[in-house]
Amino acid sequence: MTTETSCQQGRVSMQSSLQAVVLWGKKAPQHSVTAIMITDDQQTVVTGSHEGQLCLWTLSPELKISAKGLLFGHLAPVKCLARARDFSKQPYVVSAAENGEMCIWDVTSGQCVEKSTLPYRHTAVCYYHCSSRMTGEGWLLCCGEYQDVLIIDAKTLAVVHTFTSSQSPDWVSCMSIVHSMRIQEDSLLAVSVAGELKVWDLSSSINSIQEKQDVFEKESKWLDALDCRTIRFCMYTERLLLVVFSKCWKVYDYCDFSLLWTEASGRGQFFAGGEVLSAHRVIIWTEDGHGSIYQLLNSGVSKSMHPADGRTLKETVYPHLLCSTSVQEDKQSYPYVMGYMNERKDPFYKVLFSGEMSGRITLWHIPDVPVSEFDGSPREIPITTSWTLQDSFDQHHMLSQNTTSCFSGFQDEMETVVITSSEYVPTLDKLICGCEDGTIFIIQALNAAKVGLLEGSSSLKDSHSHKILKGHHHCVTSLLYPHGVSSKLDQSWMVSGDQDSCVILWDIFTEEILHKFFLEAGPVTSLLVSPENYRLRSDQAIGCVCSHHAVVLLHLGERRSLLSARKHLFPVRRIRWHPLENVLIVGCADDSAYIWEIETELVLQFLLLGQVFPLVESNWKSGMQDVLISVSLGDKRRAQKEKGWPVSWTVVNLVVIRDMPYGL
Amino acid sequence: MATAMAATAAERAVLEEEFRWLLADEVHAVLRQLQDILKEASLRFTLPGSSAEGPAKQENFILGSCGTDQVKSVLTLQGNALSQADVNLKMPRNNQLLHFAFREDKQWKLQQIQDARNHVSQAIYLLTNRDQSYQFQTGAEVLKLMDAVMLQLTRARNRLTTPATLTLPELAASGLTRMFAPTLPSDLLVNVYINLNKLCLTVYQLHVLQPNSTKNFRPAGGAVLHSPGAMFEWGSQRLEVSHVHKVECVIPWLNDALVFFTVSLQLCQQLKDKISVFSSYWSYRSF
Repeated sequence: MTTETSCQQGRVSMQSSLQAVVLWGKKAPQHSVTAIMITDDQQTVVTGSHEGQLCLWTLSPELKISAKGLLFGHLAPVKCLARARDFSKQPYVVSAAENGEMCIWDVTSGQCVEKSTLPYRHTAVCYYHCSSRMTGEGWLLCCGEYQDVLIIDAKTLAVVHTFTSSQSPDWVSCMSIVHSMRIQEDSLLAVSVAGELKVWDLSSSINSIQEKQDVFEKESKWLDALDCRTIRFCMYTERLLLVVFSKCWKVYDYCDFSLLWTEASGRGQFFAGGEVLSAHRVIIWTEDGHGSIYQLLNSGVSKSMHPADGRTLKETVYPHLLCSTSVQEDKQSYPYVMGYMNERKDPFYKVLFSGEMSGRITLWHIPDVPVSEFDGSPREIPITTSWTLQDSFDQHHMLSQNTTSCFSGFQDEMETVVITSSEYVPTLDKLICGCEDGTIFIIQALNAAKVGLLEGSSSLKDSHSHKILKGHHHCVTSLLYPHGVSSKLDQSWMVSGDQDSCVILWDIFTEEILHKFFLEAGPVTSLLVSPENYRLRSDQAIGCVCSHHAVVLLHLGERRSLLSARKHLFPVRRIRWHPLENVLIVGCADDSAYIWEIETELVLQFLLLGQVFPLVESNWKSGMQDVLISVSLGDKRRAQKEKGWPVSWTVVNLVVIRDMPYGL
Repeated sequence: MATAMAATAAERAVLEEEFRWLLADEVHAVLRQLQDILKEASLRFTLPGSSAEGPAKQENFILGSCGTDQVKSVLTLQGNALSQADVNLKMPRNNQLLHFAFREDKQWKLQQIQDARNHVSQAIYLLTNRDQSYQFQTGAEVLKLMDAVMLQLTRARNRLTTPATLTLPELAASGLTRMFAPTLPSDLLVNVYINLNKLCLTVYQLHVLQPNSTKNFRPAGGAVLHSPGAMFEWGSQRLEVSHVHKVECVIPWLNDALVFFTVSLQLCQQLKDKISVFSSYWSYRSF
């Protein structure tokens, strides 16, 4: 059993016709946890990451964790996870990403069963199904960077309807579904970012929603605090309401929304969430991964209420700290995402769980009846399990050493060589790998894959099928085989760029260095070939994107630099050559775009416009933007001639194109 | 940087010392500066009037265009909502003067302003969570925080610079049309939006395309500003835009806010660049 097969089965989830196998070396891929949940059967932990992948972790009956698989599907950081079905019938989980993608996953098989992209960014999703009144698979109630609450069909992921506010509609920061045993009705509690609590009838609104009628809130109340993180109804008392804000947590009486207690956070402490454990017992957790369990004691008569305001005196509560969870102090990695799960079926575990930016998962087994020490001081609850993806890799390390080492290079003497860039050339059956120490090696790709997957590395070493290219003195950061992209370029050329801004043009067959370019623009992050229809002078130009916010165009045939476009204020995200106008369009991280004239090395125009670049790019093939850019360049040229525009490499003009979107 | 590989132990020690200083002191200084700027920006967006704060203050804006005086309008902004609108339209053909205003009981919310304000609040929230007492352990941590803050700031800015593109039927169905008393004539459509630092009002005059018209009917797509000649189908009728009037007025505090966004974004990037300088020394290792 090897690391690759046991731990990671990368799946291309959308089109089931293609199954991809991903191979990793000894180092686990980054998995910065941004969302975490435990499935209802308590057998799987699901985490969503900043990198966009989901990870499934097996949770054993002894509460031990092991990584089961990485799910590929999202192209942006995952924002939230939630159950997407009645879990005992279908083990489905929904994930929502920063860019509006939503995926429903079968956590048993790891397959994506539904996917959609809507123009909404969700920050929380709640599954709702009322079997007696609803047909279909239920709803996903969503909130996020948009007004009020969106209702999405849990099967098709299409928008069904919305819950709307009649009073001060705003974004909703958190919500919770309340089921009252007493009246057998469900309600939706939501708190807006401005701090207003709203209550919508849920079960009794099902018909109205299906008929697309407006459903307004039944009640609303200002809570006098901002940054609400969690709202929870105590189903044991059917009376208390726990609301956790970033700087305090409060307990309300649900009957009349009167405030019963406010507990402020300590200095530098920020609450992140909480849950009701049982009647009058709550658990609160913080951004830095600490959990605290409180007993809410009745104090008799209110201290916080003013009898002068005409209301009767009423009972209030105050918290007593029972337990706190221990944390690993040495390695902090902010922020933690946490949750609590109370399993009502065998084996009855109550679990507090957290995921960290570093990728670590931690579980605490919460005792059924948390109590303080005999002397009344809070008891510490130890960590039950803590695990990372790297731990899973290390576990299988011994077994898979041979396999991985054959992929990480041909280091007979060298200890470990880290591959920092790679390029696969299918036509030549070559896999080119750039290493941290500056060497580049070329191996026969299919042979290497076969050996790596099926045999030991020894047979590969014997075959003498690899070449080593030495020319870089620094880490190789990017590789390019230009002929693979544009057939007009010489078949023998291979280009590599390094950490020290050096770009080398190689003859891949003779292994000799044809030319060294020194760009002096920071590490070379990517190498790109000009499009086929680029007609200027020759087709032998490549673009080098460098991390010091620069782009350098190199003419490979003439071994010289065509344009050095520097001084962009933000990192370069993408570049495009304009096929007719002899210009280079540079898109930066802040959504600005610079148009450079290649011959004169001049900035013709600087566009600071929200989404111009994606628009330009999406229209690139249609030719629409050619017209747009040509027109604006025409004006600029005239201005240049008439006004004697200064020739410099810096930004010569700031043009904010008003009302641009309707031009596109 | 060429010497990085050959750096001696002493040089490495100095670099490490500098990097520690960057994480412990410089990062917090920049974060504080960012917070100050963004708080200043968020003050520009009046918070919604909660019961305690009382209603947000009202500001009047007179919208006009430099070319013609066919449309004149006074819009009253209260926080993120238009509480009053007064539009005077001189009909191009007969110089007849039309006047219409918002119903007293209704407000029209400018979603762009609310969204921008909320994105700024999110950015501030991210920053306040790492106050002076928080010790950054790695450069990657700072980079991630800066990415998150920049994402919110870019979105805040984009909400103001990118008004919604609507089709003409969407505009006709919009609640804005039902805001007026007396009701808007059926041959008029209005749209209100924010574009950069400006509050914009467009009035479209429409005429019905006769069924026997020889004009080739092609419904127009979505746009912020439709041009004369744009056609659409509404109910059983085919309509065409005959005149477009656009008036606008700069909202000074939106201008300030946009400047604050841009300055903050640059500060974030500069901090990222400083951190990245060190990443080239400790390449491909967590530092």
